[in-house]
Amino acid sequence: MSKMLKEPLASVDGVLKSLKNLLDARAILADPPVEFLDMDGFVHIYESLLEIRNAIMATSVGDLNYPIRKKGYIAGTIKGLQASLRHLTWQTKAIASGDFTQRVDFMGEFSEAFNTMVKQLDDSMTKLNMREQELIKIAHTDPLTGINNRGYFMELLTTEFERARRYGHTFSVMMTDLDNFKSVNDTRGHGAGDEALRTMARVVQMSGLRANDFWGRIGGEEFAIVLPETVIADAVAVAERIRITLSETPVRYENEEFFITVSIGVSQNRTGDVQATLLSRADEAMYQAKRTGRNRVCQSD
Amino acid sequence: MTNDRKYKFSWELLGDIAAGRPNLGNKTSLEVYRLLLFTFRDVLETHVGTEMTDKIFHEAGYLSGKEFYANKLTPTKDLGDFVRELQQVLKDMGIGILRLEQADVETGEFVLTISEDLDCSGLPELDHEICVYDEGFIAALLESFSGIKFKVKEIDCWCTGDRTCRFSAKAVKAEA
Repeated sequence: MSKMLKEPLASVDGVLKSLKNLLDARAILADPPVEFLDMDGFVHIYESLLEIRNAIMATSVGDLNYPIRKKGYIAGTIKGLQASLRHLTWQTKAIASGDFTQRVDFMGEFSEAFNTMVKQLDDSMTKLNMREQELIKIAHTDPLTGINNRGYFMELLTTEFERARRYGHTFSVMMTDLDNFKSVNDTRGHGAGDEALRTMARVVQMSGLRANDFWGRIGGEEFAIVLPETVIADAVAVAERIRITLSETPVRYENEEFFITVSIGVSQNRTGDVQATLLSRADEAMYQAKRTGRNRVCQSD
Repeated sequence: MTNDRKYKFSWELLGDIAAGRPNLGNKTSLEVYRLLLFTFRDVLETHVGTEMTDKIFHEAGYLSGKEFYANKLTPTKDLGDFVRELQQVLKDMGIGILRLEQADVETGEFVLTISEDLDCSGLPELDHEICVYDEGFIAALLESFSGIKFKVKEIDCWCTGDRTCRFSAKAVKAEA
């Protein structure tokens, strides 16, 4: 073989080796081999393959933003893959922020798995939210009567205090205590006492309280009722209505009927009041009602 | 511009297709659509030059995007709702497959791709991006959604050897 023929063959062999290197070598590759820099078209092919190699490597380890400047079928295909994965990333972020309507329809088998996952996540979150609402309700509710318990009533009262202070509004509080409740328990049994408490709860519920009024069972046979934007005279009228209705409403227990009454103390908020002072005045008025014969409404001075 | 324009666009000009084409319906060959598009572009270029042709196509795309948003999409302020409905409508109408690659509402920067694009997917390789109509269309969609003007630039195109059309969109900041 002549020397002239051997040299081009050596060049082709070297080019093939360096391109094969791009496909197979584990080492990090950079610039094209200097001996082929002058070869027409070689640098372009080498650099294109090198960028594709680097882009595939970056994508395989999760770098979805690797810039691909080269054009052409393979580079374009990788860009398409980048676009799909980056769109999935955006969708996943949307799901993480609570948008469970996201669905994928361009990634074959993965789409089905992804969509199933999102649907199950949505179902689980819905159940969890419902359960959370149930637990909140349980935490706020007196199990016997189904109305607010003491803890939640005090939370609402704190909020009302802040609101009234901010806007300079008036509100009134009623403290109620069933008369002779111990005697009901002792003579008719605790079941009858429980029914008496439930009857009291129903009477208050049906007494025409407004949407902003709130109330709760704050002790054994004690209920407290708050009437926002209400002066004491109007609150006393509401208290009278409750007292009279209860006294006329039979408590039904084990095929028997009996009647109960309630003593109610009413007070109105004053400048400088805190929860304890306001409730204490209403309590004092309620005890005055007890002392002066029960089944009556008294108001604080 | 005078009021006696002959070709002022309105959605009604698209006509009652069901009544007008009881047998052929609301379908046509994509070749015919591209035939219309590329012959328009050819003739316009010979009359007004390349730059003005691109400008006209961009403006036409923008008008199309405005009308499309008003007539085919549900107004919303939620990006997720907007993208989801747009994806579906573009797919249902055979316009393309939209993917949102990047969305920064705060800075007003978006990157999105349209695959199997109506205008250019499958075209022979050229040495330049050609989807100026799409640029205007996307700019109008984003503006209609957000109330902010956008500058949209095609950064990858089937015609430059890529397998999808990728666009960057940036909100145009108001002059201080």
